[in-house]
Amino acid sequence: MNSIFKYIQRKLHVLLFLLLELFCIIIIVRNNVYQSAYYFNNTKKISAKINEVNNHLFDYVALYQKNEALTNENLMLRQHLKSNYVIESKKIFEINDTVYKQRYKYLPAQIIANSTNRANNYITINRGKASGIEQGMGVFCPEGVVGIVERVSENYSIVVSLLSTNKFKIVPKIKELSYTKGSVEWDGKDPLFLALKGINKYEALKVGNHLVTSPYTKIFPENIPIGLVSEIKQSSSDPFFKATIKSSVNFGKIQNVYIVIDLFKSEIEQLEKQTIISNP
Amino acid sequence: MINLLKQIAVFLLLIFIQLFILNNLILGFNFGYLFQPQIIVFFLLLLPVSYTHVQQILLAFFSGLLVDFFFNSWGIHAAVSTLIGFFRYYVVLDVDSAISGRDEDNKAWTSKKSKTWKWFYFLGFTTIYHFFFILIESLGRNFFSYVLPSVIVSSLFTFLLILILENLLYKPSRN
Repeated sequence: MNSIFKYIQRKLHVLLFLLLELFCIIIIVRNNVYQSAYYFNNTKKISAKINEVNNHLFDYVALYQKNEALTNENLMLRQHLKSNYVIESKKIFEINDTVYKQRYKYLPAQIIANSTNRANNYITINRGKASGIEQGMGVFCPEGVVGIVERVSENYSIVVSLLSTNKFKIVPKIKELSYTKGSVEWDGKDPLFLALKGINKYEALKVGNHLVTSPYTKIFPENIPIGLVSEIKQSSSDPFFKATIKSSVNFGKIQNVYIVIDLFKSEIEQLEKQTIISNP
Repeated sequence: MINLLKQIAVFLLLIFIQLFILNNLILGFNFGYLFQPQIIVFFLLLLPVSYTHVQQILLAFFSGLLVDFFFNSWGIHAAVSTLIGFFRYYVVLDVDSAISGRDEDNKAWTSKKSKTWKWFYFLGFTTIYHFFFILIESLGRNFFSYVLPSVIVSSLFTFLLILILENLLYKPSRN
């Protein structure tokens, strides 16, 4: 201890010199605008550099933890992916109106399996008996008509799509003519095109006319689009047009569909049955 | 006592010269801004060699701080003065040993030395002083286009001024 004091005493002038210089530098930096600006600019640069180096150093050290954190985050995000989810809601949306009594209810559903390249194409949707789905209900998507429910299980149903050569026909209404006649079916070739048959030659059918669902079907509500007339053929021997229709639905791309629940169906069917029985 | 009074008188004279003459000298040509002589270095170079190192450093520091008060250059003069006060001690050590024991401290010790030594001593420390002073004052400016020419011009002028003053203030004693 004594030797330290002695040493300090011996080197007092150096200590004093350094202390005074330090004091001078402090008052220079504190009182001179130009010098202090220079000082702070450069110390900022230096400290930024040091921090950068520090960060780099710990970047490498922390790589393992960072990787782990990123993996966890990826996992979490993957769990949130839409494809992981099935719509669980069994809710049926309906509109309550005192003037109009609701006839149709719609049930949203998702397509699980789909095909367009067979002669009879089926679509599987994630709704079944539990959601109140029955055989024969219409299925459509925002673009247009998709098909009819054919088979129902507890949680899933199979829909006959409009792309079926001999199972499914639909009677269209030509929107421009307000004329309901004929039938739309698929010829089994191009999934983008349907065929319209049974329209009388004397009707003013034109290319570009819109086909929608007719008010007479018990399956679909009115005015759901089916397609667009793209080509009209007529032969002298045939009294009907043969028209090609561009389907408004691209069946390969549909994801979400709605199932139509006709609330009056049983009532209508009962009435029709009685009529048939009384007038054989 | 007389020595101390003389020191103070020299100090005041130097501040007077600096404040009223040198700081008002604005040279009329393009590079006039390079001209900034600091005559105050002369006072530091004339500090009595008989003082201890610590005393010399403190004296240099306070005189520099005093100059800073006058010239509004907070701390710059003090820093450079302290530097000069610290390193000058080692240069004038042999002077101290040469004149110690004799009753000649009252006379200017510089006159004891040869002319060449004196010139080197004055020119060297003047240059060091100006170098650090201008460096600190013009931090970040271009070294070769501003600091170096300014140091050369200013320290040469101050050196000439110091030679004149030294001859005026201290008459060489005849042995």
